[in-house]
Amino acid sequence: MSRFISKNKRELVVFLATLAMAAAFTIMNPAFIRWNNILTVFQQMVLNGVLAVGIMFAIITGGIDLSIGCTYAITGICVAWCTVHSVNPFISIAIGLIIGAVLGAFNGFLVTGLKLQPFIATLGTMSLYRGIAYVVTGGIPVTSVPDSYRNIFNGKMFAGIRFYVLVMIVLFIVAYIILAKTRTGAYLYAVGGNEEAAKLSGVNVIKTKYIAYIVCGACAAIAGMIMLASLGSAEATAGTGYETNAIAAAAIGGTRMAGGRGSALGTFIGALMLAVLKVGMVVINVDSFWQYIVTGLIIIVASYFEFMQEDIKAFMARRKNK
Amino acid sequence: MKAKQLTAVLCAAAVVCSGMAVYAEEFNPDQVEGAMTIEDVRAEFGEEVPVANGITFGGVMKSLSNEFWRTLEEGYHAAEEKVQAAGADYSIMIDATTDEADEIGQQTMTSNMVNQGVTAILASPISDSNLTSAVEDAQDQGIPVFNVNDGLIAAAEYYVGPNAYQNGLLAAEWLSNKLGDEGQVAIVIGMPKAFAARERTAGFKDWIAENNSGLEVIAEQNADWDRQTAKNLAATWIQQNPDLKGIFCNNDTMALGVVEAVEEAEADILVVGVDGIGEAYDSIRAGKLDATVDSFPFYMSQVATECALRVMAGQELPRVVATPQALIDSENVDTEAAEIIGWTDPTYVAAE
Amino acid sequence: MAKAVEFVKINKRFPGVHVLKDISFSVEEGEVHALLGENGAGKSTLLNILHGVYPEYEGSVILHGKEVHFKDANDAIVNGNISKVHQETLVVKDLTVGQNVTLGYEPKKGMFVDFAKMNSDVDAILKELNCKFSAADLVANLTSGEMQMLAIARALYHHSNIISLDEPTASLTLKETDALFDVIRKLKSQGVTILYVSHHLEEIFQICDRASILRDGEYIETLDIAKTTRDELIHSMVGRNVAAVAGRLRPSPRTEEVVLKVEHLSSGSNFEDVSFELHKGEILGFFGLVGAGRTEVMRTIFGADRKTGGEVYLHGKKLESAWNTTKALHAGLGLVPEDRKTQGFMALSDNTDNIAISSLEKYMTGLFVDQNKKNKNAARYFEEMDVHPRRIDYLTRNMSGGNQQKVILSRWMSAETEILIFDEPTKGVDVAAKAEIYRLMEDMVAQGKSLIVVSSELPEVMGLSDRLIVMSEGKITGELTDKEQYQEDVIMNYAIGGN
Repeated sequence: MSRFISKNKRELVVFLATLAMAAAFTIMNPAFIRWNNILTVFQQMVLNGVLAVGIMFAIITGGIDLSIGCTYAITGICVAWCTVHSVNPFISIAIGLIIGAVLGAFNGFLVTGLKLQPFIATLGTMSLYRGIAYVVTGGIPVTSVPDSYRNIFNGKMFAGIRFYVLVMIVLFIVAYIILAKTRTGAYLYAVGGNEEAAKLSGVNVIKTKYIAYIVCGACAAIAGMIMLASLGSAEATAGTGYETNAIAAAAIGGTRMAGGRGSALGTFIGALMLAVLKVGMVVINVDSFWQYIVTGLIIIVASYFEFMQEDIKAFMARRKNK
Repeated sequence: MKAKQLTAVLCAAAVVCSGMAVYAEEFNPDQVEGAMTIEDVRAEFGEEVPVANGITFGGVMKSLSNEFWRTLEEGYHAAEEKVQAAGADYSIMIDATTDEADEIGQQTMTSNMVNQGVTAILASPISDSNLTSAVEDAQDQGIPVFNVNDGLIAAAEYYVGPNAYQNGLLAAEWLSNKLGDEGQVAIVIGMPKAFAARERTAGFKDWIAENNSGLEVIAEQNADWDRQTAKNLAATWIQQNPDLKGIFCNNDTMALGVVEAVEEAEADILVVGVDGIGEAYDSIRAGKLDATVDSFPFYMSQVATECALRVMAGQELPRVVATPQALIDSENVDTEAAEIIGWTDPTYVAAE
Repeated sequence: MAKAVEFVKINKRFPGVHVLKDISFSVEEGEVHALLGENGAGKSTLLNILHGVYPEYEGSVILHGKEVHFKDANDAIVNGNISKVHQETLVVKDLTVGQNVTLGYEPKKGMFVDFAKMNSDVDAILKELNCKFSAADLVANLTSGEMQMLAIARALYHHSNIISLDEPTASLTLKETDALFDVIRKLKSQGVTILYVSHHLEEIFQICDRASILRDGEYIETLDIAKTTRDELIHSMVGRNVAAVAGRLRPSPRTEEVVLKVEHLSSGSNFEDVSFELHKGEILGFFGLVGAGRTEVMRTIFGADRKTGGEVYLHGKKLESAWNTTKALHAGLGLVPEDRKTQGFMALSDNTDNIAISSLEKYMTGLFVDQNKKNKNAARYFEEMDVHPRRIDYLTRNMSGGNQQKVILSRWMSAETEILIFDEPTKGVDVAAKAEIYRLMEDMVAQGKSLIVVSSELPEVMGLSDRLIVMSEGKITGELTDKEQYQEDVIMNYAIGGN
């Protein structure tokens, strides 16, 4: 247990901060803590959580994927088209996953094959993929998605919990296992920690980066398919700007932007914190203008936790010595 | 103590915000005196629209990926055909940005049209300020500028577009009727910076205040015109406020997201949107969305073309011409738009 | 003679570590004073205290009889007339030499920088230092030796009368080192006090007057260099006797079996037509000056860089064209890179993970990597190689140079590599650890492994190798197959491209 605490100190600090935030919202409006509202929080963290777990893979390798919001839109559109044209819902989901993986693999190709800076490469695909989404749909939303598809994600299990919440939790567990328990995970951290050293240790850097971007694309696809189930329609503009929230969730959860560090647990808590914040501010009816300010400040403060921790440690040590 | 500080901060914020509001109210087409509807215009200046030879208009638009703007474009071309059918030598060239944020690109487009020497510019700017310099260039060369729908170019001689404030009035009135003038309602705002969002929200709230309505606005939040965000917002409201009876959304996209939240919660809540996009019509037919305020972009651009041609013919139109709009619900969803707004084509008369 | 620097009972603690314990000694004015000790002995910490980098410490620092307490490094340079020339000199590459030397303290004319005065002031200093470059040159065009001179020029610009040099020759060529020593002698004759930190004991004997020795954060003694032998110095630093000269203690297990054969290998402008063989059980030395192309040859063989011509055969089998480091690893080929920090270890990983990264398949339980197996493996090599501290959970970047090198060696031992290439294996490694690394190399060949040792330290390759290949300007210029042929002047002649 103490080992768990020492290994996940940062995650715990962010989690405690999230609890404190929830407590503050509850004091301001006791309705915040109702079961239904807690369900709302979990439901509303799903899309950002799924996008964040994907982008975390890219960030751990020292990269970034700005195109996830667009992959999300394309997948939503294509799967919507499939289901509307009576393709079996599960086959549609498989198609969606393949689309996400292919779009992710293309990012991987740009980053490894053409050796482009990930930021620039995915800035390019962000526009490229968005353009494809517009061209495919002609700007017209795809609507009337059948319930046979929507219920797969949107159906309720028990206590009002929807399947897509379960999908997210499973994804986080799988991400945890990959990162913490498998060779691929070790290679991902190694590539992000020091790409040259990893290469000179015999790590297949190119393959590892491909895996990261493919996982990232697949997660964006899953998020897009959940969105489709939740809204029953898909449009080319969906997901605009979602990459920033996903990056924020990963960063709050302790993912190092330069690569080499990040955990599924941390990113989960980061996404949870943002959802608590968003729902909480709606519950206590914070003015829209102020929500931007508060959200921005929280992201900055949360990302600063790590430095503060170091400072506090050094301060305590100094006190002890004197 | 803490509360005092908070109050101080909020007061400061209020001052800042009201300052911004004052700035924005320099020109508000919704509140301009002497504004006319197209019917007023025809009554005053006659049904006939004389068209001189060699007129080319330049249409500057926002992203055609948005159905609203696509329909507006179709309206321009429909008007073009009608004018040409009358034997006039008239054409319009239309250019649009690839997304709704490319402010500089739109300005370049406008400047290009000025340089090509179009007769007049019909512009739908992305923001209130992005076309300012291009518009000044046009005016220096004697090319009049017609501002079609938002954003607002303060320097433009003419504004042709829907009355966004009235969108809100219509929505509030309809909700009041349906709810027996009592109950809790909430507002999903687009982007607070957008003129249309501000005016629609203000119209909705003012109607309630001015009519001493029993409707009570319990929450208003911003959802960035995004469907998923609006759905999330509504889901939170619904489970926090069991007595919520109606939700007014600043546009249809958000309203369609809100409808999903209402369905999932199995709540009995009326949802009203604005814009009248095709998907909203489908949703009303399917019994999901309750109403939308349609500002008929197809006719808006025809009105804009007609007004611009009238000005070219020397008629002294007012600064603001309001385009038709109407509330659509299950009762009139299948009625032809032309019938709802009582539309008739003007008579274009080609020059000899 | 007056004392330039006096340390009185200096103590410094970091959270959990007492790094300097009651350090007291003094440095005379106008002497070249060496500060010696193994990595982690506390030399850098002491210098950082002297130069204001660590403003918090116990005890006092007295300069020219006056106690000082600098707020920060800048305070020390500007108000204390005391400068440090760092291992990796910090410069802004896109500015001129003049701008770098005067950075932050540019001569002004009114509101503007007076570039004419800047350049004439700086050029005067550069002339004093016998530099061939001028104040108007861009720093990006300087060699590492010239950058070292730039740093010294900066110290003189601030009228420093005490200058610390921390490993100043680490990246210098022989010629540049000689030039540096001339400058040091000149400064000394002008009364400037020099504190000199280096792992190269030869240099200490060449240039220094006295040496103070630190060990494990404690002050040991100050020795008069003229009256001290090399062995005495080492004994004082390490606390015991070590064979610091590279040499073989056991007979060579070299066999006739060829494990690696390189034929006409070329890579663009880096090197061309390189051919050689490596035998089982052999240590093959590769000598050359900086920039001779040795590193590039090894990286190409290992699959880190692309070849443009020629072939490589491993155990008689031609390597496929799409050769990469992963395939090299699985074929039993390994590389210990030159720069540990940028190429050797993952900065955020602990020792266990840095050791395990190349041999993860060994620690699997089912589909998953087993942390216990990894730990066990790391602990085993820590014991075998005597790594200090014995903490497999420490971040590798916090270990000393020699121990970092052992961690990387453990990585390749874990991967059961048959052929291992060492690129500058003892760079930045202290004397004791050096000897241990030499011993490990002998152990490895005794186990039937084959090694290539690339080094620019002549005594090292001469002492270790069975055979020696010399490179110059991207080509092999000489091969010495017999230990009896090993003569410094012959080898150096090959290395500068002569015959």
